[in-house]
Amino acid sequence: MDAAEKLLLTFIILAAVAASVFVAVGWSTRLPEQEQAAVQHRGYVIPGRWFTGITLFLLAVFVGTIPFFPYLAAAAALQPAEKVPVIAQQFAFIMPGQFPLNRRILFEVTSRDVNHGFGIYNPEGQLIAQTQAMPDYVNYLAVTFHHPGHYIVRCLEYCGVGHAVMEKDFTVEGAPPAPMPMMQPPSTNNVGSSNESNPFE
Amino acid sequence: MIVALAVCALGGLWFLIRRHIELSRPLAVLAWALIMLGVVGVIVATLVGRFGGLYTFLYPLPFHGNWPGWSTGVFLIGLVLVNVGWMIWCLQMLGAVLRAFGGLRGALAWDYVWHRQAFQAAGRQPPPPEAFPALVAGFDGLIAGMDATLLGVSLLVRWLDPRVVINPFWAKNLTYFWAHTFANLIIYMLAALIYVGLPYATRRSYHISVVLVIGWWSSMIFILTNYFHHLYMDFVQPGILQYFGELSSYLTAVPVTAVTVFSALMPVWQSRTRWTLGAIFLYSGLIGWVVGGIGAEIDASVPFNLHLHNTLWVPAHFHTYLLGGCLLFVLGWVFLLLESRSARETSGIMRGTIVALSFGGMIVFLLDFYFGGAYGVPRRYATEPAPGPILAQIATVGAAIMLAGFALAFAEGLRLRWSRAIDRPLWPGELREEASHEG
Amino acid sequence: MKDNLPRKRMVNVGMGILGVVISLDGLTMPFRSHEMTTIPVHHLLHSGMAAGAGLLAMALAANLPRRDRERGGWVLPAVLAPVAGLALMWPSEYAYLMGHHWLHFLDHLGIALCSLLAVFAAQAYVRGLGWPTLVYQHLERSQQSGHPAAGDG
Repeated sequence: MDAAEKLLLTFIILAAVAASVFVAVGWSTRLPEQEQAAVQHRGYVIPGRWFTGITLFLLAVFVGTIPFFPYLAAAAALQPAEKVPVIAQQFAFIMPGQFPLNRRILFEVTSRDVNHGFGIYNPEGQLIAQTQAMPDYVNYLAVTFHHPGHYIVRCLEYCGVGHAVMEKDFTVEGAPPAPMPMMQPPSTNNVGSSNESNPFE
Repeated sequence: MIVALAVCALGGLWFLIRRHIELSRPLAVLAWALIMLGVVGVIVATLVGRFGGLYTFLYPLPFHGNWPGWSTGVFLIGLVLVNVGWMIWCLQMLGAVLRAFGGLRGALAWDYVWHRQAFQAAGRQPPPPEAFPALVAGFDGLIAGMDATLLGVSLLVRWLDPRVVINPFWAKNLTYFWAHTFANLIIYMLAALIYVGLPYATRRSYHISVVLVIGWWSSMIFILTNYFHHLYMDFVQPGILQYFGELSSYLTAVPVTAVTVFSALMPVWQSRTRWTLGAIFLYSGLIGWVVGGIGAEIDASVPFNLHLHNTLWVPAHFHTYLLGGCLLFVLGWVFLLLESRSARETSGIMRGTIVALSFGGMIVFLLDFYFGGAYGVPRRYATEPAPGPILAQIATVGAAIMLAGFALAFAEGLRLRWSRAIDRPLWPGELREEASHEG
Repeated sequence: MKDNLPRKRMVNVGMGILGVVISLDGLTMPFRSHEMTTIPVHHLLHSGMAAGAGLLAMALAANLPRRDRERGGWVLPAVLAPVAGLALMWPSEYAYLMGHHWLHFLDHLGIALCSLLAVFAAQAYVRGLGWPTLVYQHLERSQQSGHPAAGDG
């Protein structure tokens, strides 16, 4: 079972449980009628408990998800990595077409014109990583490719009429890669990392 | 669809609040007319001017397209008009709850929560439940409207004077703050219809409690702060806001489930509810709200958002809200009104057919969105990568079945309307008494 | 209640005086300071002036009738004046205005008047709506972001 199936199953189970609560409550109108005061008195215990329970549950989930947040600290951006500038523009990505296996790649993603998305799909067609490509800003995205094959980058932020055709293929190969072509960063580049630049300057 | 349901919500809430206090009719008509004029502008810009910047119009896209400059201008002016109409409505609502329930303190039910004994000893009553959606929509809506004014004027100035440069990240924050708050408020505004409609259907009263009031207070705050989840994939956003965004997106769920849903389930439990079409629609809209909320919470978790951001999962959850929630609230309300005035009733077979077709089709339609999202199919694609096309074909069948169900409901609504027997206001107090005389 | 009346009046007079002082400070700024500040700082100063004019409007609105009905005609200025006030902060004209003090003065006068009108109108529409309008006016102006393109003076 892959990640997408697990996610769907989780969602469907939760949705089904929620819906069946409603159906059960709806069905209860077939039972003998009760005075509202009686129902109210017993029923009011539930929201109080639920209130506490759901709050604690959500806080626990929040704490549980924190280790999986993708935001690179300034220190992480300095870790050894192959830096690869990516320039998005209507309707293409300017970036290399080949990457090495098992090496940390730090994509420095920006845009020449409007907002674009930078989403990497693996050979199985799963969306494995993404960030936004924005003019005047650079978003850093660190990815290590563990599987060789044919990858596709797709634009994930609506950028105009050619949005759906904006993609770029690249391959990941195990053999030692050829030296990467060096590219000039865009001229309007205000380099910032995840916690360095202030958006409201 | 967002604006259509928003206008339904504006009208519905206005109607409910006018039962408590006199509201200026010309002002409401003016707000409506400005919104409609703005919509005409957007339609002209899109269909005639071929404006393709989309309703999220992230700067600088409106100025980087292959459409003529005038269509961008007409689009922006249209949006500003919609916003002016919206702000008039918000001011009117906020003014109405301030006038009707004794200022901000009274409208918030502040003393009811903190000085309960003195409050009850003085014989005072907290505001009715539908006052809280009006207060929250008026207040949060005004903030969103101010944000939209700022953004709209900035973009209009940029349109008139290309020398002006706007910070795209600033514009992105403003755009999502406004768009998310506006879309989010619709469902909260329509909750007012449940507060009034459900007691009518179940022949019980809707109970105001301290939990409900505090729930609405927290909604008032979280509606404004959870838009940050639209910028999870902008790593230049200050990190603290990302964590705050996830936390407040999670906590939004607490008042909704603990307050509105629970206090809607309780009047139904072992009641004498007559499951007319109106009651069914109103009640099942709550399921759409909760299920859409589950989808939203999954997407609002940053680790999942990494794989779901801007995929079909996003339209999946908001279509669940809008189709399976908001639209059903509106339909439920309309049918309750029709049924309460009609000499005829809807037959069991008809109800069953409408429910089976519209809900069955809706489930197929929505599930395809969720499947597409989980498999990473991007949203807003004219031609989707696999498995998008096959899912779209199945979804089309689902949508056709759903529409057949709604068409049948529409026909049934017309039938009820034609056999109108009496004209009377739908007001729980009086009708509950009447119902108890009948039963 | 009676004891509160003089105090309320004093608060109103204080607010009015504070509003006048802040507004006058903002209005005379074009004649006193000839140095070009950065545009964000200039926006912040505008937002301060807008808040001052708003305070003055609240003081002026103190004698309006009580909150019993809505005076619908006031809604339009309450909604439209902020739009005009924002348009007066046209970002690419700062360099020109810095060299023309009277125009700069008129610009500031317009910004202050728009804020005054918006807050007064909101308060006159339904008593109590002036305060949120004042806060929004202030925040809105301080968050204004546009600036002229580089190399455009």
